[in-house]
Amino acid sequence: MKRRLLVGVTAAAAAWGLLVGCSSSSSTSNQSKDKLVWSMWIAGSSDKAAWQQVANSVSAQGGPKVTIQGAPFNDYFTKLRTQLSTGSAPCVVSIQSLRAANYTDVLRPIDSYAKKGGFDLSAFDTTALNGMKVDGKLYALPYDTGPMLLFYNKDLFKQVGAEEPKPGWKLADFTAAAAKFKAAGKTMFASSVADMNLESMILGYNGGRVIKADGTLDPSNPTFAKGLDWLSSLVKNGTATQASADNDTPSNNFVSKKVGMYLDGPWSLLSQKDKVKFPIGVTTIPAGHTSGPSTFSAGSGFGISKQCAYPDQAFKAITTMTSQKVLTTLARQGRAFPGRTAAQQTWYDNAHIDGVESVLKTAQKASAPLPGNKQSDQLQQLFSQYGIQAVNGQQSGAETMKSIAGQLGQ
Amino acid sequence: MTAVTTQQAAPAEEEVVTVKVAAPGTAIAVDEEPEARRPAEVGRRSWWGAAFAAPHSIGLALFTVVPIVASLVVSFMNWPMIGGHTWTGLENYRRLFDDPIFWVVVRNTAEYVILYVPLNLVVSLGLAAWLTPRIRHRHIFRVLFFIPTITPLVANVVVWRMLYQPDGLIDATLQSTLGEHAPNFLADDTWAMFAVVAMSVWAGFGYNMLIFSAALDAVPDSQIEAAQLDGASAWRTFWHVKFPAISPSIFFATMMTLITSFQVFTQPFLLTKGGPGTETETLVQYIYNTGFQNQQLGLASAGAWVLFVIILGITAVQFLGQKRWVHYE
Repeated sequence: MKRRLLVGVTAAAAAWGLLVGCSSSSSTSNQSKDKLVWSMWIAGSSDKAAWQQVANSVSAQGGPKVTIQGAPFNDYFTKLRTQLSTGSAPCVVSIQSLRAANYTDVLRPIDSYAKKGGFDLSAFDTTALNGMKVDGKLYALPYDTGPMLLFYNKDLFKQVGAEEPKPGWKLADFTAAAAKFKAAGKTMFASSVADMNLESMILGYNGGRVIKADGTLDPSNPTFAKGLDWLSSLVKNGTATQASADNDTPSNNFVSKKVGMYLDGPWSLLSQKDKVKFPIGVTTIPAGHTSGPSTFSAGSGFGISKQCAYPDQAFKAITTMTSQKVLTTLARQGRAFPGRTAAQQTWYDNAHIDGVESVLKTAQKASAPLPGNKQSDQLQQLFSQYGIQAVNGQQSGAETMKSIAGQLGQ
Repeated sequence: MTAVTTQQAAPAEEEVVTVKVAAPGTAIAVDEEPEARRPAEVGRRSWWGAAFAAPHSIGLALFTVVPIVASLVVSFMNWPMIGGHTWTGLENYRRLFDDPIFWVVVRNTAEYVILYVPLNLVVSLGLAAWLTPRIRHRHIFRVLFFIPTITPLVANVVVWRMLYQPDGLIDATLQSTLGEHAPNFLADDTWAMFAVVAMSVWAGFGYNMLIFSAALDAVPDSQIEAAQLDGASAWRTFWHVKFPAISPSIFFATMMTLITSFQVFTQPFLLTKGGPGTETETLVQYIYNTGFQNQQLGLASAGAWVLFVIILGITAVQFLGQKRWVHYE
């Protein structure tokens, strides 16, 4: 009888072990005052090592032990949403500024914690900090920020005889450079239908926006539709490549020297510089028929989930993770452009790219934070489905935006 | 009587074999066991059976039965990913049927199935028929043809995207030979679905080919020889001898291919994200978008149940129709 009981218990334990083994290794259910889980997008082993260092800095400063729960960027937000809805929320949550509005129901406003501890928020870059605010409430401390920029291949510009773009260049300069590329049988610009890229390029061209400054959607905005038609004309006249649903194509085309220029953010600049086999240049988005901002800025930061039972400890953790020391170390390692003003000089010094400081400063001045909306994830998906039809010239901008508006229920 | 009891206690066939091959004395010994001990013996054995089946049964219950029942319940509720849930009855189904995009994705899924299933079966059956034992190194060919099936689909998609994209292999080849640009397959509404189907056939025919190849090998040589002696051509031998003989395998492959093709997601999602527009958006991607982008789990579950009913109906029709053409020996 005893033996049978023993066998039964062992079998049950084994079955339970199998089931538990299927769940995530860094379970969020065993968080405590001294042990918090931080969800973060991870792109590879070097990324993981850098973030592990950030996590370690928290316990080194006498804070709780922080365990990273990583996911690839493309799956991160789907996973996060699911986790937050099932009650297994990590305490520390990484979030992008343009998605903050989408997560206010699951994130904790942190203004009161900052006030309580006398935490100095003014040391953060104003644009970065404002990007993390929704309806006046702060939801995360920014670790990086930056306006959308154009990265270009200096060799190709020289080869086709085009003048290197200066920060603050205009649409006429862009068109003149494109003509040189065309004359040399080359394509200058890589089309992209990723939401932030499309929206930034059109904002620079004619000020058209699909998300208003207050965060409401305006998919039937005629100025934005005209902007799409302009992008389509670039494809038609050979200035730009055809768009692809795959958001990595522009970057790949740039690295493989198929195009002279593409859109990206400062968060990718240094890693891209290491990847390419030519001198990389960087400039602002050309301003066209607009007197307002000509690029969008965005950033990422760390917030606290609403379900977190240890918000004070989590706040301490995120202050360390965005401290001057940590952000300077990250800047020195050539990672994203820091969200703290005082750490930005280290990043400039470390970049070793001509004129990068003046380009970034000019772009920041000309930038507006890209506001989020509850439907911005859906909008992003719709741009990758419908945007290519507009950019590749199969449909007019107005027709495309009508389809998108229909799907958004607008 | 004893033999029957033994079989009932342990359904495994080995038990019957043991009784058959055991020395006569052993069999008698079993027969002579006292009647009183048998229920305990039977109980212990079934207990062990249950213990061995437990990990699988618990897994099946937790990860299959519970989610299926839960999704049915959720499909009758307004269930946003975060926030309160309310019972709405058939409201989700009504919304689904009122949504024009839903009918577009149903049409796309049907287009995919109609293109993919016959192509897959023809290619796999054709190659299996070609790979007769007379082909030298046929095992190497079999492995080569099976490789796409075992390669992760994501890797396949990356490679196929390089073939399809402007300046990709197809475009570059056409430019250098004919001086013409190939269409932008994945972004052109005329070509996108064909491009997705072609990639899927390449990635999926290996499995069916292996089934057909094994079935063809099992056709008795005597039947083929008899047909040949009667003067039947190779074509006639295939259609009138081999095909009926492997019809159960063809039925199985058709059913499985139909079911999986209705559930297609990875290829269109990774190649085109469902675009251009909604040209390649399938039912499963619609369910995924509704659930994870729009965060309407109730509506997504209703979509999943509609898909289930479609698959169930088509499978049932298949089973009814099989009597006409499937021959079981």
